[in-house]
Amino acid sequence: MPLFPTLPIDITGNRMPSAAEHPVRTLLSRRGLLAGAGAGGVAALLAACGSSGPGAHPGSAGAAGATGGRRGGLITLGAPTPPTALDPVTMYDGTAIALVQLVAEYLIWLDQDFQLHPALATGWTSSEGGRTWSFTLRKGVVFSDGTPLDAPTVKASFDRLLDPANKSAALSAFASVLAAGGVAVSGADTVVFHLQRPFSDFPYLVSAGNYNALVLKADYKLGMFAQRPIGTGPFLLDSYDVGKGASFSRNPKYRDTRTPYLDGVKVVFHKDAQADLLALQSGAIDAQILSQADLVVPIAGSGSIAVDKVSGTGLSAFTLRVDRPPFTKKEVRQAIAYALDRPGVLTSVYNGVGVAGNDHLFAPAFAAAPKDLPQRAKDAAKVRSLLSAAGVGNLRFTLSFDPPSKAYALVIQDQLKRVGITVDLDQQTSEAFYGGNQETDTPWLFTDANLVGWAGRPTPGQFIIPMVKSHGAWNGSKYANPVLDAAADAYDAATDPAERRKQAAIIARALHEDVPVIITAWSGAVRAYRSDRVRGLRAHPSAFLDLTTVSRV
Amino acid sequence: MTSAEVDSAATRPPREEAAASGAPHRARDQARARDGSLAPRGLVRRPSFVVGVCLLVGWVVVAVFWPWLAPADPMAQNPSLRLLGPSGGHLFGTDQFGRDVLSRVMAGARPVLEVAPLATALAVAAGSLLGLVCGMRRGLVDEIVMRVVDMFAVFPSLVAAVVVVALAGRSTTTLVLVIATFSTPMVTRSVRAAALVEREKPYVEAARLRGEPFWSLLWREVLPNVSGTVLVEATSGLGNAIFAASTLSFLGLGQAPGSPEWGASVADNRVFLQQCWWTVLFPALAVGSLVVGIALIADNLREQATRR
Repeated sequence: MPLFPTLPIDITGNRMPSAAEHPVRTLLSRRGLLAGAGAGGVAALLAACGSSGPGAHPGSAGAAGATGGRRGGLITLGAPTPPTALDPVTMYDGTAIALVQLVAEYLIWLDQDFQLHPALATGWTSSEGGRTWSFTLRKGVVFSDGTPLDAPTVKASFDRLLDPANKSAALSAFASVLAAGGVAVSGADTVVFHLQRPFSDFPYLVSAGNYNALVLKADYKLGMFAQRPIGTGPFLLDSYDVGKGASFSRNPKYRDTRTPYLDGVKVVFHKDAQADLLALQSGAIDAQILSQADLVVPIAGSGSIAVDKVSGTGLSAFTLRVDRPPFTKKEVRQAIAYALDRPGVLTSVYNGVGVAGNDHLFAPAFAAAPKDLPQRAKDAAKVRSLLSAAGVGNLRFTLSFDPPSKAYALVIQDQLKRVGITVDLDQQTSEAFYGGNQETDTPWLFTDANLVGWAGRPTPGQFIIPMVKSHGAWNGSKYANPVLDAAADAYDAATDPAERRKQAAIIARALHEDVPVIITAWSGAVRAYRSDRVRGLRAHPSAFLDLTTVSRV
Repeated sequence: MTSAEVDSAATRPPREEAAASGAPHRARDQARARDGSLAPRGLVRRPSFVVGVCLLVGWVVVAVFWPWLAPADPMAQNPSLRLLGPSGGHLFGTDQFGRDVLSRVMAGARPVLEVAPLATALAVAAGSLLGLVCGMRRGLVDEIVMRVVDMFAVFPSLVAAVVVVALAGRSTTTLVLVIATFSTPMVTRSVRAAALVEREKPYVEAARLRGEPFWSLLWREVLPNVSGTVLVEATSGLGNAIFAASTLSFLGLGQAPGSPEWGASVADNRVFLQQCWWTVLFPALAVGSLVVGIALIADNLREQATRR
């Protein structure tokens, strides 16, 4: 008999806390810190994306994706039963997000490589040093009921998200960047965003990376999407039953006449991941929307089951309190970092899906990630010398965590034991771990050493600002470094890619040297499907679903 | 010899006869054996009893000597050996961390056989005392105790145990106390029922007439004659305690993270059941074999006691 209610599935396919969860944990596991994120941006990249030609659809990586594929036919997908309502404004679970993405669209699509692709917006420019952003809308787009898309409609969609009364998860993403009243129209096809501060990564906030930022009709009624599913997306929602599943058919008014290839999609809900997997193995479904790596990686290649893998930006932060012994000494923190076998962590904890971390917060997927920082690796001799230099003979500490981090905690305990470091494990319930007062005693921010899972973010600033900047809202290590703070601010404001790389290098070096948090791996994502039935289906770091270029074999 | 003494001698149970006549203990045991009592000679002829004892003794030996018997360190991880199926190198395969499942099954016997017998011993001691007092004393004490026992009986003990362990925190002491607490009412009820029967027997009346103190009456006269019930309760309680301990561990409320305890192992590996059945099957079989073994012993003891 379970002690606690079964938790829903988040967008990465992991179990999520309940809706009545702690606000910080909500943000950590759902979307996080899109707000307060570092500004600055990959301006050149954005400009390049903005100039992409017309006709590109949100999900595909350009026209190339639309040139192949058999037209017609249906596919059947499996997914966990969505724990939240099918409402684009408030949804936060992976199933609901994927289903809505078939029907409605964003201004910009975020692909599996963290690249931005024009969708309803064909281009965007910034002015006033990144404080004002203008988005040009694609012409000729109509909603499935025939209503044309225009700038006032887009403005209404964002005004809806920015209205606190609507309780959209997107609100936190815009915090300190875009306030209510900051959206304006300029003509019929240009939307202008006036930001509270320069933020050169702003296009990410109106992309799929901020997954509630879908463009809906101006008269959309909150919570009525399942009843009136009107969007500009490639499919129409024909039926939806939270106890069974959903069915979709091709949208004849879709803006790209070449896609989607499929005539329709059927989605079957399963109570748990095992049932979903069984359905895939038995052939009852053709693919999964949310796959769990630990379940599907072992069966990849058996029969016709294929598993697509993609790198991501999710991480599990091994946080050390720099203001509490024994971690006040940098050498102790470095010794622990050098004691960890990162490939072993990747294999045991992430099933080989992901990439090794280097104790800083720039995932290889981020454009500004430093390339010249040596990869930290296990070095037992260095561990001994660092501990000796710190004057620590027998290092022993307690590691606190909640159940989702249990495997990682066991791996850490085993690996540190091999170099003579004793780790006592303190497993707490998620409620206890994320409970308490964020200012004084919540375990995930106030224990000496802990593990906290962070869902993937499209920009590094969304990790840096809260996690390691001085007095960051979720700075569990209590790390404070003026050099890093200044670099983080400069990174936020920089529009020149070279300047962003320069500031990123400063931040990464500081974290790599001071080790307030140990990042051993960046998790990836998987998606399992039957290769004899489905072609073109890809995994996505955030489990987003793009079926425009998917076809039957 | 007075008439009272004559009556008393005539109605004494075998144990009392032997004691009264000053015969050696051997004579008493022979008398009990003839009477179909719990003497080992009758039980060892039963194959199911022997199988049960072999299973129990086998696991006790493994629990004590696993550091010398296990082929590998049950805690040592090896990522390159993850989820290997049973083979010559790893008879029971390996788990998600590359740990040897056979070694973990062997090591997992120790936490199980630390918690369950301790909890059972506590429950039997407390339950026997309460049952005897209630059965012999009756009155208000009996009423109060039995209503409490009734309350425990109608409340799902596992749910209550889960809540208590979750609140009190995970430790071996907590596990032992919780399992003992929720096992005590059943022992109390059974021993009380046996004591009620004994209470009406002439030898108890005779002891009272002799002026034997109450606690002496319980300890010297009644307890030996309900020992069969106590033994049966102890064995069946042990099986229940093992199951309860494993269940709590399965729910994450038993042993510390990473423990090879069987219930915890089943829980940790259940997501791999379809792909890597060996990670779940062998710990589950271990729990099952131990519980079955103890159940066989308990059944035989119960049957033997019924013949008395």
